[in-house]
Amino acid sequence: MIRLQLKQTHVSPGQIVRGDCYWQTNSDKDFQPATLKIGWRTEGRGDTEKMELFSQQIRLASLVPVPFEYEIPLSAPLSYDGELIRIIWEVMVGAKQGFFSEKEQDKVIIRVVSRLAKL
Amino acid sequence: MSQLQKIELRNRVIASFPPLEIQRGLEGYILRKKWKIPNITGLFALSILSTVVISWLPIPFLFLVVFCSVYPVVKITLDESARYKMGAILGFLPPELIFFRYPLKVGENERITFRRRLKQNFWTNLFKLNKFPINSRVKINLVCVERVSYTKGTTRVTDVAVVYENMIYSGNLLSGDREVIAHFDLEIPLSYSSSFEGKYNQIRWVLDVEESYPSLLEQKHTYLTFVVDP
Repeated sequence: MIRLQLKQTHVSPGQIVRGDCYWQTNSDKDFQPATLKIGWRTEGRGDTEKMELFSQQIRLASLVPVPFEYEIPLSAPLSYDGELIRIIWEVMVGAKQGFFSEKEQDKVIIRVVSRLAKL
Repeated sequence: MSQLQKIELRNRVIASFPPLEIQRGLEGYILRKKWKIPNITGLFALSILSTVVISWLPIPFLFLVVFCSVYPVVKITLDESARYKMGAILGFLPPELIFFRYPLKVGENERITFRRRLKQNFWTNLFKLNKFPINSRVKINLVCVERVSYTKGTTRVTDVAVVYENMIYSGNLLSGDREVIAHFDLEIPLSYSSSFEGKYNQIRWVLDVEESYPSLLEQKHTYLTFVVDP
């Protein structure tokens, strides 16, 4: 099982998202390659748009936290919940298992808020 | 805002497109509407020609000729773009919004100037138009809209929702030397989002300007402005 743990779920542009990635397994594998992604996507009535801003290949070892950090760009859109549009920021980690088994992944939604907002 | 005004605003927002034509000058950042001086000489020529021809054409053609004569007048009266042309011919320069700082920032107060100038050309000399009418007025609304586009069946649909609206200025324009101006303050509320410009999804801040020059011209424009998080 892959699990993401973030230090904070509310960040502002220019701030750093920090967290750890864990992998727990009963198998005899020593490590598991995985991909960590950070980005935003839109939801709502309009066609979906997606932007992947950060992608990193990581090697997960059983119960060993893999730290990561990413600075939210200053020009990044803020999280938004409107009438027609939602802008959702996500941190996602995914690992491919065997050929016949499903992809294992974990996803955490973060909120990118204005720097004027009190975190 | 009445339902009809909302529909009109919605149509103007749907019709407005980036990129924003902003220029940096000595006065600040100038946001200017596109203003192509059109050639409507053809319309006038058509009227004159029709009037000349009418004197000798047989009756069956009379209706056609009358239609041709009336067409430019009706067009100018009813069609907004024709009035734009009329205004341009009379020597109006494009309406401008002048920002001291740009882009705008959420939560910050910004002083903005609306300006419309008059040039000196053949038409303004002909019509002795060297100043704007007294009681020229302007009404400015700050509007935030969500604009989305999607495919429904085989057609592409654009939808707009107004999420914020505030009248920030309504009053007479101050007359200067061949120009009229209005100063107003604008503040993007803290609880609202900055601009977002996606391919199919946009959050846009729009300044909706209604100008009124009694017995001369009435125009409505939308200026797309860009708002960022400070």
